[in-house]
Amino acid sequence: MKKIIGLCIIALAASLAACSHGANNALPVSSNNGGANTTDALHQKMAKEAQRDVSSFVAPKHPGYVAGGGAVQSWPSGIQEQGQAPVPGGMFDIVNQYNTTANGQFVTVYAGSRNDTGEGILLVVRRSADLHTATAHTYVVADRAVRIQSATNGQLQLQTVGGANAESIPFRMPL
Amino acid sequence: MKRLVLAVAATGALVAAAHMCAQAAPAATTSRYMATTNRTTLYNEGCSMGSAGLSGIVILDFGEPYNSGGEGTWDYGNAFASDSSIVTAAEGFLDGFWNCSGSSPQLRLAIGTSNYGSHTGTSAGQAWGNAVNSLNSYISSKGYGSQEYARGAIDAEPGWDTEFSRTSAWVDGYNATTSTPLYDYGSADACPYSGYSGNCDGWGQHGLWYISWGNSDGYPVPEIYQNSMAQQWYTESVYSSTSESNGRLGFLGTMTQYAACGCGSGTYSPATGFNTLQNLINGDSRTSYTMSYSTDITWAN
Repeated sequence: MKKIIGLCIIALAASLAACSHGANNALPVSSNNGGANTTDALHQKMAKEAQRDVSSFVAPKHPGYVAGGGAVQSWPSGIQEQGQAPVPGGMFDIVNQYNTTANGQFVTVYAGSRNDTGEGILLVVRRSADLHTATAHTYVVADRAVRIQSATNGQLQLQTVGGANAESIPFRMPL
Repeated sequence: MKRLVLAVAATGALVAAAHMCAQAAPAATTSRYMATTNRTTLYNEGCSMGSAGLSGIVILDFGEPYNSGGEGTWDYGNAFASDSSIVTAAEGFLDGFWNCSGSSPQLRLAIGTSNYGSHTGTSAGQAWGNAVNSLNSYISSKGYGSQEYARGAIDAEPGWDTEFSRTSAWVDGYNATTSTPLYDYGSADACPYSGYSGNCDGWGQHGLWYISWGNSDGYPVPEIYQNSMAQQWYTESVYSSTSESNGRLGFLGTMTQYAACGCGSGTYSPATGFNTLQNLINGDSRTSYTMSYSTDITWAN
C-alpha cells in the first residue's frame, strides 16, 4: 500500500511539474540554438513588464466622489471618407462611413466588404447619446464591396465597387 | 493484480493532476473604441471597473494617428483628439479606478492607437511615448503606483501598412521616447499557419515579430476573433522561438471583440479566444507560456 501511495505521489508531482511548464516562473528551455539564453531573455522582458512605481506614497481613496458633468457630446453627420476601420483589416475592408443622429441615438454606418468572401457589407453601430451603451449589427448587401453614395432620412444609396458594372443598391437603416 | 492496482492508482493520480493544472480563462476586462475624451466619462468607466474588483489590461482605443497642428488621433466619434486631451481623459480613468477599487485590483491602462492611415510614423510614435510617460508621472505623483500602470498600445495590422515602414517608424519613435511596455493588440493578417502559406502582407514573420515582440518595448496581446487568428499567432511564436534571438512570444493575453462586432456567432467569446490560443501554445514546448489577461472590446463609452 505504501508503494502505491508513493507511486501516486511521484506521478502527481511529475504531472504538476509538467503542467507548470507553461507557468511564467517555470519556463522550459527553448529548443532553438539560443537555449537558456532565450528563456532568460523572456524572463527579463517579463520582469520589465511587471515593474511598478516604487514610491512609498499611497494616495487616500475617495469612493464616494461623484465626477461632475462633462461636456455634451456632439456627433458629426454626413458621409466621410476619413476614419479607421474599426475591425481588423484581415476581416473587413471598410470603404467609407456615414454618421447621423436618429431617435436620439448616434449612428455610424461603415460600408465595405468582407475580406474572406468579398461580399459587400454594412456595419451599423448605434450609441446612446451619453455613449454608455452601444450595439452593432452587420448586413450583407451585395456580392462585392460597397460604398455609401448618398443618404437621406435614413435611406442609404449604396454603390458597388469594382467589377465591370457598378450597381446601385438602396438600403433603409433599421430603426 | 497488484500491478493492475498500481497502474490504476497512478493513472488516477495523473488525471487528478491534469484537472488541477487546467487553467480557466481569466475574467475579461472591458476595452473600448473611444468616441470621446470627456474626463468625466472616463472617470466613470474607471470607477465601474474598480467597483467590480476587476484586475487586468484595459485598452482605450482612440483610433488612427492624426496630426492637426499637433499629434493626436482621429477617434471613433469622428473627431480629432489631441494627445494632451487623451492624457487628460485617461487620468480620469486612473482616478476613477483608484477611488472605487479596494486595495487589491491591479490596472494596466493602455492608451491605444493604430497603424492605420498616412499619419502613422516617427513623430506620432514619439508623441505617443511621451503621452504614456505623462500618465506614468501622473500615477506616481498621485500615489496610485501600488495598483496602477500606464502602458502604450497599438493595433498594428499588416494589411494597413503593407510597406511596413510607417509602422516600424512609429514603433521606433515610441521606443526612442519611453521604455514603457507597448502592447500590440493587432492582427497577423495573411501570416502563415498550418495549411496556409502567406507573408504577412509583406511584413514577413520577422516584421511581425519586430512589431509585437522584437522591439524592446513590445508585448503581444493579439486579437483572437476566430480560429485562424490563433493559429497565425501560435505559428508566429514557433517562428520566434526557432529563428529569433529572444525566444517564444511572451503573450500577455488576448483581445476579443465579442461586444463590438455585431457578428453574432462569427466571433469568439473572451473565454474561447483566450483558451484557443492558450491551448495552442501550451501544446508545443517551443511556445508554451501561461497568459494572464483577457480583454473584450466594446463600442460603449
